[in-house]
Amino acid sequence: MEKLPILYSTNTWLAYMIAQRYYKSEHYVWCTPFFDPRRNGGRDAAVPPTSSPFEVYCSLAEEVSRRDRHSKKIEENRVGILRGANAKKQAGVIDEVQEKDIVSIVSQAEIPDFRPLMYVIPYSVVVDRMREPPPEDKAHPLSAEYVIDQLPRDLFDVIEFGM
Amino acid sequence: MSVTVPQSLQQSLRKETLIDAGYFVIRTLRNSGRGYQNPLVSTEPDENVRVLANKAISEIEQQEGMPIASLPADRINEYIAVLEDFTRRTYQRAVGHDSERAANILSEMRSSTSTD
Repeated sequence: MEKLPILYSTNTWLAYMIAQRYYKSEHYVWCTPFFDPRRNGGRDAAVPPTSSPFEVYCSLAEEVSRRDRHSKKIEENRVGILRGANAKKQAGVIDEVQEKDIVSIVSQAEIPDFRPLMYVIPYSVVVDRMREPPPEDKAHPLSAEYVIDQLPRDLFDVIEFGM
Repeated sequence: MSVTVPQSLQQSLRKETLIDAGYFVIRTLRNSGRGYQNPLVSTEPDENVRVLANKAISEIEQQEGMPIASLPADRINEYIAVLEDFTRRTYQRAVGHDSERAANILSEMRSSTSTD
């Protein structure tokens, strides 16, 4: 399963912009070394479609392009961003005014604001910042999934591609 | 039978705990919908959040008469939708909402098209 030179993570434009503006350009990411695990034919690691950066990117891009008002992924992202704001407020990273800003922004954001971005992260520069999520949070007990709680913007690249 | 927000979440007083617990209940339900064999509340949050989230999951299971892992996908999605709405509204009520300021910030963000 040793395939770690690059890590990939799909996030939304809104989550990216909020982290840039309010969290000192530090980003919370779930990532995996497999861009599209289907291409590995299941040989290297069990990374189910729900954790595949490429699959997540495609389904989010499709829901955004369909302007799907009931998109599960978009609603999931809204709540995820709110949870992040709640945590950052408790950690003292943001103040009450900024917390209110984020809650208001999430409420007013429109569907295109949730378009996907692909983060490309060199493993060598983040190895000391990565942790494994608890087993109950992983899509599969053996899946290669990692969390980076505070990833500085200068340690990764952002790609947006058309579908 | 319509889906309702578990009582334990409705009665929770501390906003910080409630928002976190709501998020982790949703995450557990979503993992169940993704086919996790034994979906459990994450051990990541503080204990008071875990306790509240576990209580809310137990209430859902009691109301439905089955473990969440056995719930049909449609039913899980109904719970997730209700909880997402509840979490958002609760947070907004707690901290307030400034639509004009949010619109201005969003407009400013959108005009900065670069992600460099």
